Amino acid sequence: MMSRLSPFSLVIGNIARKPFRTFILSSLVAVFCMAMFAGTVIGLKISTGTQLAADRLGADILFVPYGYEKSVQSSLLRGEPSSFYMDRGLVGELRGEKGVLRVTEQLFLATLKASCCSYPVQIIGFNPKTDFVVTPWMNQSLNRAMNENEVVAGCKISGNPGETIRLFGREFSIAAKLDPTGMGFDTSVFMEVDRARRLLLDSELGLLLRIPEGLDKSTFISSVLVKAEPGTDVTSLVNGLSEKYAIRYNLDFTAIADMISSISSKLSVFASVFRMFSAAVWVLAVMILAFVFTIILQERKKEFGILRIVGASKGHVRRLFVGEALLTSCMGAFCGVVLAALALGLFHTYIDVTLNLPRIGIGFGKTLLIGAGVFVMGLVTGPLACLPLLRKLGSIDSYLIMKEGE
Amino acid sequence: MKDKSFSWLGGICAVLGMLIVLTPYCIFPVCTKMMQLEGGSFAPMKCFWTARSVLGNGSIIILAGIMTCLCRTYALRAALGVMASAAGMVVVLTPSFLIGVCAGETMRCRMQTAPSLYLLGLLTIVCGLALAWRSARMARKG
Repeated sequence: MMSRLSPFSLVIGNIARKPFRTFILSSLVAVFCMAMFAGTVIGLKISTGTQLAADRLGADILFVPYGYEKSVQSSLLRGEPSSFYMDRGLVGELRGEKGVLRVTEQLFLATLKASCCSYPVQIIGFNPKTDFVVTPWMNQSLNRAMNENEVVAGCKISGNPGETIRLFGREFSIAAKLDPTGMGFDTSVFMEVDRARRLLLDSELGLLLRIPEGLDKSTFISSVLVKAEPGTDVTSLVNGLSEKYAIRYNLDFTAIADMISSISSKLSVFASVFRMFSAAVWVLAVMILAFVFTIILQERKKEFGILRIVGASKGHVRRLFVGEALLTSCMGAFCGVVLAALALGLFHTYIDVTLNLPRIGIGFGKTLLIGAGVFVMGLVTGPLACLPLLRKLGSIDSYLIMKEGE
Repeated sequence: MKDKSFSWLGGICAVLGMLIVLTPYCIFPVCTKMMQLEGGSFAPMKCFWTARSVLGNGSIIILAGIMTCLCRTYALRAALGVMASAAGMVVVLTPSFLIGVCAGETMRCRMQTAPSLYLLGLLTIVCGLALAWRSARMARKG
């Protein structure tokens, strides 16, 4: 039995009859959608993710030994293990400064890359009495003081509370796991700063790590984090403190907000290039589709003439033509958005590591919104490309077309 | 019986199989270092065995793709499609559940190899199912 002929079945039939042409045209739209979706998601991640990381860190100013600003960035934002040391005397001096609300110190220890599976881990020693950076992430998971042989593990460190973890050849019990932070804390292990210092000095590996000559071995630290009083101009506070302490302690000073904005501005160039590329692909897609549709129209003039003779109105023929373009774009846009989302989802760690981004997502809702927006842009590509041809399509003279070639 | 779509789907399956075989060894190689055991001896890590398993499954997918291009019966093509899908599913399950990869989140087997295998495995499943569905449809039409 023959199925009833409808505009939709005609559109489907026409598209199915030319699978290769449909595949090529859809692929063009798909490439545009993939580039647009990936560019927008990564761009948003760069602008919001880095800022969110700064907010989550909770500190305004960071002090590290001179030359280690980059190392501490990688360590705090992405958990890349590093070790560097400075004198603890700065902590006490900063406490008395005007505009400084809270001061805390941290000690960084990187385990060595012994073999692939015992991968390097960042150990962060912190002072529970003064800390305002790590503790907020611990409050829900640990509401008591840690023992000598206890550590708190980041959410992505393997092992559960109660289990043991081996660090520098010693067994430690995992007291609690940190809440997910999206930063380097997720892949770090935390212990009290004095315990971490002893661990480093007692281990044979301590000799290999860079402890500068002249440092007091019983009090050295890696970084000092400062929270400014509300309403204080952080930049002028940094300038004032750097004049006073930079040379004496051989320090690198950085306002967290400046550090984050410098990362963002460097990466936003990359995002802009990506967006420009997707815009170029879109213009190219519209132009190529318009060119292909012009050829198709020439090829199918007789077909449209017949349709007019059997009673189809000009509107029907136009709708048929636009319908085919719409369906082709729809398939391309859908495949492009789904493939890009799949690739971004699966390779998110690789992208973050390659672009030096903190591992903070932009959220499912925003991703869905971007996906929908890109899908709509892809969807209109085909109909937009065939718009200039609609007038020509309406002016087809069935009689003359059928007489052609006789 | 001469339907180009079968050659296309078979060809795509074969290419996907080839990529699956090459991924853990050439494109995104798994970790090559050995893991030290408690007793002091060394042993390969999880990702090494995942790569081995994926090599076998990838070869099956290549074979299914080539056979699809060569054979003429719809029933056999449908069976090959199901076989390719099943092998694709095993490719997805091997790094995620059956064997796994190394624990470190930024290790290359976890960051590059496993996601590539998930993506290729998913595409193989879709391609195999499309092949099986089209073969069954054509068989019904006669």
